[in-house]
Amino acid sequence: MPGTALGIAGTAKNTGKTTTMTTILQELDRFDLGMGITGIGYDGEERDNVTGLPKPRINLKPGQYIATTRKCLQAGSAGYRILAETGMMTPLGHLVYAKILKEGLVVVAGPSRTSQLKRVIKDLKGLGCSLILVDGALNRLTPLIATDGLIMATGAARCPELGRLVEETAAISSVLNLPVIDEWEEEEGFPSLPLRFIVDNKDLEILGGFLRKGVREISLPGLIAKDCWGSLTDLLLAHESVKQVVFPDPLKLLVNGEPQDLCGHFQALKEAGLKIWVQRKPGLL
Amino acid sequence: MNRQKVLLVPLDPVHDIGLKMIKKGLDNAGHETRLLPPDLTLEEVVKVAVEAKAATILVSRTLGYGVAEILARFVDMIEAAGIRDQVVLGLGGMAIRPELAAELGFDAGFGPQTTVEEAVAFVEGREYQPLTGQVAKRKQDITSGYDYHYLNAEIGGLLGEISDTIISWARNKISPGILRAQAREELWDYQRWLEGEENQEFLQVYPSLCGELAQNYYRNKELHPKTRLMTPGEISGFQKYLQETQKRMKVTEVRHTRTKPVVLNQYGTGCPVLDVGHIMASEAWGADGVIHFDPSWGARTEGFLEGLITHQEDGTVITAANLHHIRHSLQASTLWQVRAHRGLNTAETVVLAGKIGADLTKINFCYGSLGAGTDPERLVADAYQAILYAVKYNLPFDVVTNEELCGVPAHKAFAGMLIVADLAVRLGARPILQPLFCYSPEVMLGGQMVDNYIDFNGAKVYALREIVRAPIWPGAPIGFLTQSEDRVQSSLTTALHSALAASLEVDAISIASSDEAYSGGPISVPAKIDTLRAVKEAFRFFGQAGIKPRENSRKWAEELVAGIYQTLVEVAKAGDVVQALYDGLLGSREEGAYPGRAGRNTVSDQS
Repeated sequence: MPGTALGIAGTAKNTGKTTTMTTILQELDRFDLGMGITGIGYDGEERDNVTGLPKPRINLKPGQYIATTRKCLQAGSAGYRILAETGMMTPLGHLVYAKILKEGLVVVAGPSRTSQLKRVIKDLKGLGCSLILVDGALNRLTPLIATDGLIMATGAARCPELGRLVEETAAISSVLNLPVIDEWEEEEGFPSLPLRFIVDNKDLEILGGFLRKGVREISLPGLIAKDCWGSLTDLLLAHESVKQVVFPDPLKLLVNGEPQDLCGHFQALKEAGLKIWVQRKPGLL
Repeated sequence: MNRQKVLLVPLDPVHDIGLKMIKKGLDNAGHETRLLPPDLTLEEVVKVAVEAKAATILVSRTLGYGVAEILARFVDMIEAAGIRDQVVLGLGGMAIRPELAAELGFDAGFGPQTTVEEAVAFVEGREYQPLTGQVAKRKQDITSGYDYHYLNAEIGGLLGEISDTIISWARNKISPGILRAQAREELWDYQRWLEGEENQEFLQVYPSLCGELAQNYYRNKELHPKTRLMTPGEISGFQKYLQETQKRMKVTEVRHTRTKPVVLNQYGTGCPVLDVGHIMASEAWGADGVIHFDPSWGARTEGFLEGLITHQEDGTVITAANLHHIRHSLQASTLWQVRAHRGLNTAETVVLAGKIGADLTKINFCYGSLGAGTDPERLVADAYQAILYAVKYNLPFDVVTNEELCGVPAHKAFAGMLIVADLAVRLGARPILQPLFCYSPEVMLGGQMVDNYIDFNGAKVYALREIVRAPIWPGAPIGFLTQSEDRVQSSLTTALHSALAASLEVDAISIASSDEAYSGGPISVPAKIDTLRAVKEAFRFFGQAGIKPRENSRKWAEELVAGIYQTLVEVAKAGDVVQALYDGLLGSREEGAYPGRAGRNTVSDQS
């Protein structure tokens, strides 16, 4: 289905996600693109929910689409027509799709789960949106795997020291740019790793047992505890048969890993000749 | 109802009492619960969640620096572990609201007001029906249970004599105010007015009974210079605002375990639409009733204007349209008082208020003539009729002793109040005594409040209770002259005076907003909410326990009773209450009471 979903993620609160989104809306307004918006959190309120600081508000024009809740539509000033109920529930009510009829401000409370976001994106494309902007929330990442491309917003709200911020941003970029594996097939005759995550020594032992079978390629879970990375890397390096490591997607990696640490580990693995892949990713723009 | 597996996760290192109470509720409802210890890492929690195959995870955490990011990361980790679609995530704690829960990626957010029942409903996947319909709030009759029996027979006897003289003097008196009241009563039909039909006969007669200001309106449509009619756009905006707000409206109560006092606050911004906003906020925050304040120039004006009129300064003009719109914005449980205690329109005010549906009015010819500028003879004549109309329209009224604020000592002000009250009872009305809880000139000079605000106020209530069995409604508002520009101080003194009133078991109180004393003009909604919240908290704090005045309170009460008696002896001896008012027996010039001049020489005998 034609149409592109663009996610706008942030490294922390107040790094400029919504400002980025509103700027894109303004800039692209002159192209008749059929724009739709949603978000994985809650945005458009006058004051930040956590800090109480004033927040940017989202202005939509007639012809644009939005996926949000009824209550949020009523709280905005834009004129709208509700096109469909989705049956998907959020803390602020059920999600609906609406078309903007009169220019005005909107409040976005969108789907927070990956499965829900996938559906919303599909439905908005079906309504005719050729570009869908998905506003992020705080530092949340995982649902944005459902998008086709990702903009990462970072800034002083994440870290006020510019040098460290630049290093971290470079590392994030590096993780997000991990290559996507063309084909992934599990080796015949070997069971798949029975782990949804690696968070403690018990899990590492299970991994170790698996690696001892001499696999060449291994698919690891996305959720790996920060503390386990060192031991994980050591395990992989110790089993020379392993040549390729595949993670589900880079967003899951960033949930629990410090970007610079991750890069350090990946570097060590690459130097030992391992290839690191992801199964899918939204492209970093 | 299926048995659910629920994981309870206190991410807060210390505070998990909320979760423990919810766990108890869930266990009682038959669910399988597991409460984790409060010091696990997020990774450990996720691992337990996956292994336990919980259907619902309830996370508890207060907000702090960096906490939002931690909670958001938790949600991401549940996604990363691949179980997000199999679990329902709820977040609870202080400062948690649904908007925040939405931002963090949870399925629901529960704030500090969350009940255990609400959490159980969430786990069971059903909609929560709050029990806060509770008992539907109902209007209370402040006068119920009182028989006006005199416990002090001597004072009762004196009052009886005085009432006799007033009745024989007043019953045949006529004034422009009385004539207008008659016209309004006999010729102005509310129903016709509602239907947009002119009350022709009324309009023929009424203007000629009015003074210049009102006449200019009826003849030339000229309004008071500081007023204008509301525009059609404003009116339709008002209707929309009213409709939308009433959809969300839920009345609350400020009382805790006591059933008294009834709590009223006042409105009178000048704009009837703004007033409705103030009233609705007051109702939502627990006010049981509201009191209409009209502009002071209304007291010097013979006759009422008409129309939905807005006024630039404080006080909302009394017109049928303004009263009607305000009345019809009130919740069914809200008491509405329209005051008729001073001025040239007191009798007609009671008629108009009665027809439009007021619950209470206010009448006191002593205060109105000694402290509010109306001529004594005029006000006694008009008030007599006002009381009769109050009986007709079944309007109890308070008799307020505001002359204390001029400097008249309480015993004289109370004598005046009892005179009006006795007359009222004689005529079949139901008066409510309104002593002031205030830092009056009398106590400034006498020092009764040097130590505390409790004993002298208590003495006032004790004194009245020694005299007669009548309802008592301290005003006006309570704590008057103890409030300052400081909103916290102002709210607190109001709340403490309210707690005193509750301890004394009075029937009602009037409270001010926290900016009333020093607002320099407009009174704000937040300030009204300040005092309603403060009063509620005071009632919560004291419950059935109370504030006990000390022994000197009884001593002062006796002195008050003696003073009242003495004053009544003098008034009875004078044989003429009107003359007594002029002569200062119920408040002298030295004490700050000046007989008013508005309406002088406008009373005559009916021929």
